[in-house]
Amino acid sequence: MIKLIVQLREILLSVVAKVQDISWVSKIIDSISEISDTLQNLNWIVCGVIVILGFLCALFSLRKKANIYTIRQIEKLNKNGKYIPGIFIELNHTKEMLRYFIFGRIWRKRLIKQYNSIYDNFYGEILEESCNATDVFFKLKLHTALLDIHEAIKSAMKLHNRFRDGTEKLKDGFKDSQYLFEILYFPYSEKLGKLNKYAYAGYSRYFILTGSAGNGKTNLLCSISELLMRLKETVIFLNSQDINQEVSSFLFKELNLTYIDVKYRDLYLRCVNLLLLMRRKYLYVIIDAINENDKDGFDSDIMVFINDLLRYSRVKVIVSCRNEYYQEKFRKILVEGVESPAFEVDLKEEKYSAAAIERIFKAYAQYFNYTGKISPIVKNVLSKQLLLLRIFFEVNENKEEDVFSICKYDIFEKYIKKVQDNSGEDVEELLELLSNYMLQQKSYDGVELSVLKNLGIDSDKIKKIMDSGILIGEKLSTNEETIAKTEKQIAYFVFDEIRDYYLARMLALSNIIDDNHMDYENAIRMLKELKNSGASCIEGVIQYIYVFLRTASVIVNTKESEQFCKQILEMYQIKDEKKYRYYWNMNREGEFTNLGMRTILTSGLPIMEFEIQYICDCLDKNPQEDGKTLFEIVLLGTLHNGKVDIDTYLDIVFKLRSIDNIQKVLEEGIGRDVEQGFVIGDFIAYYNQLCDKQFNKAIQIQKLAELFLIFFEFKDEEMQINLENFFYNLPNHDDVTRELMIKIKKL
Amino acid sequence: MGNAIAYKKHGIIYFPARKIPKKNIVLKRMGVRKNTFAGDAMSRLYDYYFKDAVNLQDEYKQYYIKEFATVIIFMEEHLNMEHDLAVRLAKGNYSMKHCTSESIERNIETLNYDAELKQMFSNAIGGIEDEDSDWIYYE
Repeated sequence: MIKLIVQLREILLSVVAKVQDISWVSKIIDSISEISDTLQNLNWIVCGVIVILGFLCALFSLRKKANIYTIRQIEKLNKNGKYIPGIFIELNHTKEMLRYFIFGRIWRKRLIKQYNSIYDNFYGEILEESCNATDVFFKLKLHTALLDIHEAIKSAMKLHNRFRDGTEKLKDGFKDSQYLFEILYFPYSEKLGKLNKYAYAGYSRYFILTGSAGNGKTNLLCSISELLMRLKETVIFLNSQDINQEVSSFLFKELNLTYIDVKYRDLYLRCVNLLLLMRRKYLYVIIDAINENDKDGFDSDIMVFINDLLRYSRVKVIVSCRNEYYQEKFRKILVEGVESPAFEVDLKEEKYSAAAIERIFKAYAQYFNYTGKISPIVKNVLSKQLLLLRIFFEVNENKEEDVFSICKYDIFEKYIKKVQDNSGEDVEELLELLSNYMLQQKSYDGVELSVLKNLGIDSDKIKKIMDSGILIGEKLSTNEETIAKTEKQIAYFVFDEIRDYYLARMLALSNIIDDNHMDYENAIRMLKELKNSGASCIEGVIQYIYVFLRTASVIVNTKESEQFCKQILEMYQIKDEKKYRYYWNMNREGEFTNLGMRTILTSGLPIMEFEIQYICDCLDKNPQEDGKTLFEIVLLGTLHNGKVDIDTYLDIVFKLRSIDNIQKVLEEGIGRDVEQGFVIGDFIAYYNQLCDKQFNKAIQIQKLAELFLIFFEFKDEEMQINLENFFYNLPNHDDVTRELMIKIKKL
Repeated sequence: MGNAIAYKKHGIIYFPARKIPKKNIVLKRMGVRKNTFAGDAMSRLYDYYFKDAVNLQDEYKQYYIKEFATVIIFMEEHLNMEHDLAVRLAKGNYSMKHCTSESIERNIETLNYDAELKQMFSNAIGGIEDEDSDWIYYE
């Protein structure tokens, strides 16, 4: 058998040797093996191409699907009035911080340039030479990483803090400069503080935006989403209210991703992450108003979801939450519960510039289809409170009447009516219960939902009213005094001033005994009690009860009403023994310090004799306190047809106790020329502006200018000559001077 | 903005960077020498107004072009400028700088309390139209 096999092998070998000798056969064999090799290689290439295509499809389909979803969400918010394009005005650095969050690495060199410019000057040179601190960099290199920039900024901030505290000493020979850097703490800390936030935002991947109701969080996030889409980034905008299941399942379902993508979620996201890394792009997940989701377990769900997302290096998350809920409920979950460090920003309201006010009014008017004119006085009042501005336009939607004066209580009444119409519920009933309960309990923050339920108002009704406007909101209150920490759901007035208005109304109505009589003594006692208890609502309540007394048909024009108004004003009368205080920089622009003055001059009602006496008393005792604010109000009144104008001002001025006091009041109101404020040279411009249209108002300007010229002489001779030449050559100059001199002599 | 080269309002100075004379020329025009007390003071005043100013066109093109359709919209919406001012600034190659409390070297502006010195510096530059008036100017 073995022999047979050996023979067979020899035969085969001899056959193969013969075949190999034939060249065409070997060529065919070579070709076949080459094709086989190529096919084997191609197989890998094809597989590779398929995988890459798969990756690309996964990315592109996600970007397309995510952005379509985001556009739909923004359209929805636009439709229900939560997002109004063009409404967000950049008043602080919040939007810029979000830009750094987006462009972090690209804007790194910008940060370095800004940091270096802080010390690249005369003071910087002194500091560098004289400073003992070794951890502070006065110049950063262009390739410095974001983290290192942030560290450098923090070190510099610490240095300036030490200067402020007097713990940092300069080298010997620079003792004189020590005070300089103590004084310069503010500009340095302001600049470094801003850069510190930018740098942190630049390398952060998790941004938490908080703010009170109606101050533009959703607007800002929508506009940032639109910017991201323009930058060809992938954005998913989630409205928390819509999330009705586990967050990631909800997201995949809403994006219509395939079954395989959902099943191998982690692998899919890893692929997306890899492709984003290759393209140097990010996936932005924006979760708006997380406080608006009441679903059980949502808090823990959202925490897990954010943690999951932030595991992927190319994912950035932005979350927004109302201030009222943030500290109590969400901060722990969102900051402590999430592994990545959070960058928290509070979107605060700030003062608007004139250009910004014009733009915001234009945008609101367009959105609410309001075609009337709004006087600068009204604009001035509305622009100080974003919520009031919003309410004003909601009330005036589709209207064309001009608005020249503003009565807040009138706007509130109309707004309450509007919410009533929108919700179809008896809003007044709820408001009455809320305010009465607040007055009884002497607690004005809100009322527990369970209490309202016991009082006969079911939660569906409250929910409907809450969803129909920004009148009533819901918040959480934690009671940590007991061993077991408890949380309560509370209904509250979103806008404090509406609460004060309603409390005042309830307080006044509860003291009306019959159709035209009021128990004033009891009402005053209640107000004094409120004042003495330091209730947060007292200022607003007093203002609105005062307005109520001057306007309510049952009691108006009675002697009693005037008496009661006087008693209210007396509560805020300046005491004779009050020490003279310095008010430099204490007044908030355009706001009265004295509550009585504020009540009279912001009521929007014609001024009465007893009110003039009160104002005179305040100015006599302390012209510094509100002299400037009064002048601003009357000047606006003359220029824009306000109820209180320069004639009223002159009435007040000539009722002051002495010529010295007149001089002090004029000095305070007109003389002190502050940056961006009234300039005396403007008298001529204002006169010319009013001369053709309203001559009587132009004469008011003339009277005031001439009175000022009687009392003061300018250091600037040119201005003195200009004013004299102008006003002393007016045809009625002699009459005006005579009238003024008679009034002065009477004093 | 009249015939002056630079324009200052609300604590911000606007100027076309190319038209502002170099520091040594300004010092020469003012008749002061480098490394002297007067020269250092004028040099600091020059830096206070013009050094590290932001060029509006460059800023827009470098950082905001994808967000705002035009440089005018950028100035109006991002910098909160009035429309007319934005249009004027957009026409020229203007730069801007904050000369208020935000400025580290704000102390140097006290030199401007001397009206003659202020005028001399303005002349040396080619004119600064300052709409921010001084503080108290009556007696």
